[in-house]
Amino acid sequence: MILIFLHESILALEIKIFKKNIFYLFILILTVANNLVSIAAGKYIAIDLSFSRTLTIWLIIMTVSYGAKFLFWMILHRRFKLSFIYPVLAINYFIALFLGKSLFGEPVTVYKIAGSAVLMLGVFLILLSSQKTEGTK
Amino acid sequence: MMAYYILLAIFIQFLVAYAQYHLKIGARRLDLKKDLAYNIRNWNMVLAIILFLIVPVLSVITMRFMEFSIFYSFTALNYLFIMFFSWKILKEKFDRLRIMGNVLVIIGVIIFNLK
Repeated sequence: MILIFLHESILALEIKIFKKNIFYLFILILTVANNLVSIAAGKYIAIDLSFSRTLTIWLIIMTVSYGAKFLFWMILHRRFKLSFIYPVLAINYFIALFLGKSLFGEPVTVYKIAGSAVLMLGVFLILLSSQKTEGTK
Repeated sequence: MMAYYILLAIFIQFLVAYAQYHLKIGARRLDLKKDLAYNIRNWNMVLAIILFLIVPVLSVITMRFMEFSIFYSFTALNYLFIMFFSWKILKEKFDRLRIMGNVLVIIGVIIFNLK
């Protein structure tokens, strides 16, 4: 029943707004945020695996965000090349650094900042390369 | 012990890239104008879903012993595996810039994990 509803919803979306770029931009932003939420939820679960209401809530958040990730990727894949979508998500390495500090009290070291910067540079080069060899399929 | 979890984190990223590859193939074969039964028989999509279900479980196991930000840095290795699948199976073209980018990603992950 849910699958049929999902199928029909995607079909309706495809007919109405699939070809509008703003829709893809919105999905891309949601994908970036969703990536962090799913892993942060996983970390919360990993911290305390004993059965509790909090664990259930994080489990639901994680499941929903992973489900949403699958849906977002499916939509993005229909429009973009695999090697184009990933570079856009690079901004998350810096966000994850500070999210780790604020949520879990993890240290932000010089190595971590430098590593993130090198990671982003690498991803930027991949992005440049993607643009040269066409960003969309 | 930590080396074991680092290997697991790398393996998780390999699984994610493999799932992405099947998702890509599955999305190409997806035809929303046909009925649901047709689309459910899309085995690439089914495999991608199974892998996407395995990955969170492995991630939670890994993150019990690994910091959130360190685990997140490993997700960058996806680029490497994605490049491999894109090149080997999807036959996408690459230039020096992309290879350099991927080398920097690996160096970045190593620097990130230095203590």
